[in-house]
Parts: sequence; structure tokens; C-alpha cells
Amino acid sequence: MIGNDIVDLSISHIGEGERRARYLAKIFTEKECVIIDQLGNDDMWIWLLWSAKESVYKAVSRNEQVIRYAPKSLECLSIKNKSNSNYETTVEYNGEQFVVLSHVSDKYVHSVTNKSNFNQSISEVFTISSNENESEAIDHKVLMYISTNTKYEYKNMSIKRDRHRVPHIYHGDKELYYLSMSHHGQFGAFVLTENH
Amino acid sequence: MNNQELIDKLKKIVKPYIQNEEAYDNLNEETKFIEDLKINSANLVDVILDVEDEFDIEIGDDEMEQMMDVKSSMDIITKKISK
Repeated sequence: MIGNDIVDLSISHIGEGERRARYLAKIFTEKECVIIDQLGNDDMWIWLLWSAKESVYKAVSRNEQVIRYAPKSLECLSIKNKSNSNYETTVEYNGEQFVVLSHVSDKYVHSVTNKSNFNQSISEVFTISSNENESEAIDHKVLMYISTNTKYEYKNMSIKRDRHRVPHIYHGDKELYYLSMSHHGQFGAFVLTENH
Repeated sequence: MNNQELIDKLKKIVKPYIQNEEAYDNLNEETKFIEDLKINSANLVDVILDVEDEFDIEIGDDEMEQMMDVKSSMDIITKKISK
């Protein structure tokens, strides 16, 4: 189970004062609000926790029929600074815990979760220009990455979305990797892992 | 308020957050916020807050969970304002 989420900080605003408090109360549990307060209540922490939760939501919803909008059904239990701009968050969903790795820059927050093994997954963040079709641009980046780093040729691969809109990479009829893609504003990102 | 008035109000609320103009122009009861209008999930919270302000209602977590499309949002708003 893999999932990833990217937040473009330049277009992420939650307002101030009362609006901000109402916004936070809709997406975070009381425990999470305490964590955010302790960290200093900056927007960056809000989007870090949010993207960590979103990445787990994407991982667990891969096989779900019904899409729900229940941000509080996922809860960040803890957050650790691993190095410079890298953070590790533990997120709980339905009694199960997920480790999420997040990278923060001054422009974006990118979070990745991989239930099996982080060492076997590859993730990339890239910019998408405003005249590009986002979905096509991300597909192209993923296929370019694979064709550059593996024996598989670009022209023989394709990305298809299933009925849950989850993308799958094929080489002919064979599925190559588990894939999760995301985009927000000027950023696109993906994570992929070997098919077991 | 009839259904068309309600749809018109919702249409005005979601406008700042939509990323698919064509789906927006064709907005109807079946339109889904994330899949069709391509509203970012973080902006869906803004839609909920704007709905609360516009109709002077409070939307609980259980209700927010269902507000993924125009139809379910209309049902929840109608139920709330008739109370």
C-alpha cells in the first residue's frame, strides 16, 4: 500500500482568526490541534500534517469503492524531525498505524507512505508548467523516469486508471509497479514501488 | 428556496475552487466536487465553511463526510435550513 500527497504552499491559505480556527477544527482532531499548537501553529505544520494524512488516505482508499470525506478518521499521533527538512509522522487509520515520510521546502510539502518498505520505493517531485495538462504531464514524468532508470522502453509502457481512478503502469500486459500520483498547483509528484 | 436557487447558490460558492471549467459550466445535481470539478481536497473544507456562512448552518463531521457532490450537499442544506 503506497500513497503520496503534494501541497503547493503558494496556493494554500487557510485564513486567519475565526476562519482559521473553524478550518482546523474541520480537518484535525483535538490531539492533532495540540500537536500543531506545540509546534507553533505555522501554516507549514498544518500542511505537513494534512499531507501526511492525505498520503495515508490515498494508500488505504486504493481499493475502497466509496470515497468519503472524513479527514478526522485519520489521526497523526506523532511527528519527528529526521534531518533538516525531513519529517516522520505516524498516522493512525482504523486502528492501523502508518509511517509517513515528508519533505518540506519553502515551496511545497511532499508526503509519502509505504506500508511495505520505504527502501524499495522511489519518489520524485517536479514542476508542471501552466500550459501543460496536469495528468498527461505526470504520466510523462513517471514513464520518463522508468525508461531512464530501467530496461523498460518508454514506447512499450502505458499508464491506465482503474475504476477507483488508481493509476497502474503496464509494460505490454504486465503490470510493472504500484504507483501513486499527486498534483497541486505548479507541482506534481509520484511514488512507485516494485510489484510483489 | 427551490432546487434551482439552491444549485445557483452552491455554484457561486464552489466557483473560486474549481479547476475544471467545462464541468462547472454543466454543473447539475450529479456533479461531484473532487472528481468532476477537480476541487482540491483541502479546498473542500473552504466549500464547507462557505456553505455554513451562506446558509447560517453548522455542518457536522458526519455530514461533511457525505458532501462529495451537489445532490448530497443540497439534501444536507435543505434538511438543516428547514429546522
